[in-house]
Amino acid sequence: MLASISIAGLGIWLAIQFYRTKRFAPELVARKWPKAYGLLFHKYYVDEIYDATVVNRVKDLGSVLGTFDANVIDGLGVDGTGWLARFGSTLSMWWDKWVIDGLLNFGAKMTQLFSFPVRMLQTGMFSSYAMLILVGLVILLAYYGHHMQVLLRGVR
Amino acid sequence: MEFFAHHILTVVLFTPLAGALLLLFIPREMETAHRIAGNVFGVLGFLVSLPLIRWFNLNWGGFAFEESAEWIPSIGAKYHLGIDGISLLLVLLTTLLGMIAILSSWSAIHQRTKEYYILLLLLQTGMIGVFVSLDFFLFYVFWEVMLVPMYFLIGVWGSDRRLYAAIKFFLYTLAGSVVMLLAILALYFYAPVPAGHTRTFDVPTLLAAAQHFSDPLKVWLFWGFFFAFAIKVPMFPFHTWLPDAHTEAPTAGSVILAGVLLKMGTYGFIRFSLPLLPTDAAMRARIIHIVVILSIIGIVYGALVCLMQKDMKRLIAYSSVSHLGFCTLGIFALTPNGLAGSVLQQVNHGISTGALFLIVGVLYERRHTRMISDFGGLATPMPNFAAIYLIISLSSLGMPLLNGFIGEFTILQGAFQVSKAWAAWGTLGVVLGAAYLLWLYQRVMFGPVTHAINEKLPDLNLREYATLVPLVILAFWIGIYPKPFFAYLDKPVQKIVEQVNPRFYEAEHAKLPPAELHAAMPRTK
Amino acid sequence: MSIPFIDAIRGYLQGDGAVILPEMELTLFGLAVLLIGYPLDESVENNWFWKLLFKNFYAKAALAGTLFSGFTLWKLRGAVAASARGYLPGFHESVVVDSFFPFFATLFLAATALVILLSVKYLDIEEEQEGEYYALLLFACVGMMFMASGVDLIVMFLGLETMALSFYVLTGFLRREKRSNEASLKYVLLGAFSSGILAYGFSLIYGLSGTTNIRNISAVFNPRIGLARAIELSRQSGVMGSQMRQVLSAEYPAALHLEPSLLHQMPVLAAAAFVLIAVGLFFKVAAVPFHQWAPDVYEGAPTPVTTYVSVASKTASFALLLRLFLTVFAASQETWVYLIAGVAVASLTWGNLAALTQTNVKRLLAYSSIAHVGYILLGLVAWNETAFTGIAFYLLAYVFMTAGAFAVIIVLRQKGLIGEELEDLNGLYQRSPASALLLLIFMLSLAGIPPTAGFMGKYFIFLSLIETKHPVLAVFAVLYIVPALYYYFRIVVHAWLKAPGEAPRPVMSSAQAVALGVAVFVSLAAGLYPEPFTRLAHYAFGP
Repeated sequence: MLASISIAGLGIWLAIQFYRTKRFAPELVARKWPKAYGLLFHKYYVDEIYDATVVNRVKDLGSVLGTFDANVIDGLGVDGTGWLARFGSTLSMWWDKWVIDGLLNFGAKMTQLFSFPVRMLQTGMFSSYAMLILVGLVILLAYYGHHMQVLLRGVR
Repeated sequence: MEFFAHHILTVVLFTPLAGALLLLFIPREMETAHRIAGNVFGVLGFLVSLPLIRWFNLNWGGFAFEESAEWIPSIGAKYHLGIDGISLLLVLLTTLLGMIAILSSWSAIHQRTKEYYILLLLLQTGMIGVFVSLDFFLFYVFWEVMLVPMYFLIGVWGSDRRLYAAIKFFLYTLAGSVVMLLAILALYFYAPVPAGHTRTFDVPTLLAAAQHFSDPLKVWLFWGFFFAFAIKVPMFPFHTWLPDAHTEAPTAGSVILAGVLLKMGTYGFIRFSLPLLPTDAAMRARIIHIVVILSIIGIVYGALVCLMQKDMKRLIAYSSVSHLGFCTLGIFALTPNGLAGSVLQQVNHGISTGALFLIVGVLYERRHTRMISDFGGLATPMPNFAAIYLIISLSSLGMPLLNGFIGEFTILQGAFQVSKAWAAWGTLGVVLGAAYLLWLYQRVMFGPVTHAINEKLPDLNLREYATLVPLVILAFWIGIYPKPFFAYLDKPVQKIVEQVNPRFYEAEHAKLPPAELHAAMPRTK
Repeated sequence: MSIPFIDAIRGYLQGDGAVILPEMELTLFGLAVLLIGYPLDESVENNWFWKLLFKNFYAKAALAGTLFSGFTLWKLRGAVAASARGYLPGFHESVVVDSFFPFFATLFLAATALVILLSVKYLDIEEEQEGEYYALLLFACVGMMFMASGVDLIVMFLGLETMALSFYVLTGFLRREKRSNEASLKYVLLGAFSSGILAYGFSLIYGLSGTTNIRNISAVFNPRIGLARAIELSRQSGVMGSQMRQVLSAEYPAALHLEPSLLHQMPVLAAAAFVLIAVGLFFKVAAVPFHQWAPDVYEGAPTPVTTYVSVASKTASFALLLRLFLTVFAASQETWVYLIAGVAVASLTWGNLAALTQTNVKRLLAYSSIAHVGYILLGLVAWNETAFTGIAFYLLAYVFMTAGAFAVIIVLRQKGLIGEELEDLNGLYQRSPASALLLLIFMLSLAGIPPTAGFMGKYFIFLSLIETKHPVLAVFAVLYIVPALYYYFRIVVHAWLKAPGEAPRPVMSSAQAVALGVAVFVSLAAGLYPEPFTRLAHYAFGP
């Protein structure tokens, strides 16, 4: 306790001697013991050692990761997602336009196609109309006659 | 007053129709008179719906404000109206957006104004009718009736490809609804009739009877209803009428289409489809899987397509596909959170997307173009517009403190309780939503003014403020204090979940310590 | 004081005559229109009273005839309700007034009155204002009423031919118009052809049953077919055959020794008779594949006659068809149901798809009416109470909505403008908003969108199909609403959304306005408040 106080007191006294009263100039000490002065001036080189071993190494990693971020994560990941999204939306618009609307338009096309048989049968000629009536009659007769025959033979 | 109190739903339902009839008698040349009368009835329609909020009893689980009168006794169709909390919110959304849509058309419509307002008011009656009908026959009539005015709104006042869009909308929706007609008839026919009674179209009666149907019959009925609602919502892959109809419709038409019409589909799912789910666990799981997967595809797909749009209206239209995917996801999660969130999100979507269409309408009225590339840097000439647009964009993409967040969050919470994967896909939709909405905002509003013509665009005028500010206020209100809104939903949602997913509450209670269990028990009547 | 002649007439009118009084009145009015000429000089033009009486005298007289007949019919309906048996027979049960007859007769009279109202201006424009036209309309109506009240094959056939002959002449009434003449000739030749087929079917039934009265036929016919089937079964080996042999030897031993080939022919001949009769009537109602005359005749005939053919002739033929099918062929329904279903589906498909590409409104409506026949025939497939109510309701709705749609086309016919092409409708909304609105309502009703009469008709048909477990047919029928809406809305698009061309504003005469008013009233009322109409339709098939 006493020792530490006296060391501290000594330190304070020395500092006053050096910088306030200038009884000993620091330059004088530096000239007399240049090595000790350098060591003390650089605080035993702790910062430099720390910089060289830890700080700069972390910085290096950061810049590596930064590059990775810029090129890999952003490039492939974020922008890639953007690209994927654009691709996906192009694809889905394409789907909308061609597949779903296409199905609807297919219906319209079918309708257009269907107008041909209508026109073909709707000749306006009496004979063809009568013919179709006969054909229809025969089909119905054949169907119903057959149906009745089947019913008659029924349970065998 | 006495009459009003007892027939409030009738009054709410027919106020717009009365307006339409009145407009018939105003001579064709008096355009301003049509505008004033249309707006008066729009506001009136909203005002008469306000007492519903005060008079609605939050503790009453059944249908409120019921009215019933004979209509076609020989087939058992009645004039039966009634609402629960879910339909209440949707009715109010309809009357509010109807009023705003009518107000927004003041300077946008220059030809055939008389018919325009008549059709808007008719449409209003049709939509309210869908939400308040408790009779299948009546419901179907309103469901179909509403198509005709919408057809004309798109077909007469729409933009270039309006004829195509209008008939596409009509045919698409009709195809779904005729199949629904068959499902309704089958439900009507297969429901047992107590001795001494005639058959009925009464919704609660038929849905209660449907609980005792065989599972295959229920599945058939479910799909019969499904197509009508899925086309209306619209779910992937029945959505292709929507971009065309929304894009070609006039602003008010788009607002109504996105804000209200689409909700008729989700409303139908909640009211009619859920009770028709089969009891058999495997069959039910299969159906729910199909519907949920379609919803998720809708969410992601709609959002992706949005990214590529060059037309603002088309972009917002596709965003509806994505947002409505959330709503159906929430519904078919069959949890209280999912359902309540879904209904709230329907309201939110009405507010946000309605406002977005109004915003595009504002730009369209000034520039007569909807192409994103025709704009850029608009924040400089139109600062107030920029602020409102930003708030609405944020509300639509689900920013906390704004309404969209509450809805999406609750839905995702509900979906998470069922499947983590569903919630994960839903979240992807939220992220993409932020992307397309902010990108749109950036391209339209930020940067230097790219077209000289845009430099002197006037900022919002008073009427435009009047249309947008109420929606902004609502967006904040729901975002900051959604409790009063959820309060309307608690009872009906609990009732639905108890009916369609009874195991949910059992499972939830198993997780709670006994003391809390008692407090959390659903209060059964 | 009693004068024997008067007494004889009075006795007649209280007996057999009462049953055919509405028809008699119509005939008398028709004859009066034919025989009475009237002065047409300046004194008529200048005196308001003479003008009121004599301007368009023929039309007014014919209209009065339908009203008069309708009034008698109303009283007759009361007498039916009061009668002990629920129906009034006449002429040895060859004509019967039951609840079936007043319903259809009212439809025919209404259709006739609408057509008369629509014809006046049209004929003025065509410069063919002749008394014969109105007389023929009334005679056609008489024929139709006999088709609904006849329960004897001969009366039915006469009724059908009276109607058909009047129509042949009416179709060719525009003598100077080539299309009209061609249509008429086609109609005559094909009509005769189909009548021959029908008559052959009638003769087969007569041969099989030995009577022409359909009540007796069904009493004799079906047991005989049953007996034939029983004998046929008894000839077979196995348990069934031996049981049948025992039953027959106990009850009808002679049957065991009958000529087998004859017996075998009986049901097959009955089937042939059914097919022949069905084909004859399918031709009249224009069901696929016997429909081909319809578009040509519809297009060529004067539009009011087109209306009449499309509306009344179809309804009357359905009345006849229903009367026969519900009695003579009722027992064998399950054997012919597939045949009807096939024809119905063919009609729906062909009618709807062919209508999609038409550009002439009359032709388009012709194809659409073929599709409507498909829906009505589906009611026969379902074959229950709902279905019969549905058929009656559908026919009722069909009469008014189709008449209304054609009426708008008739209004469009102006001097120097045919107005039948889709292009002629362009901008109708700007030229005449009222006609455009009416057209929209009729199109919605034809397509079957609520709340209109057409929807209610379809509602009953669909419900009956579901009730009788025909879900596939129901889905099929219901989905055809979508293409139907598309082609009906092509008309709407031209009328509402296309810019008007040079065409003048159509001017509606007051008679046309009345006709359109009635048509739109029924089309909307039967959709908004269908109760009285459903009761009426229900009443048609027995109280």
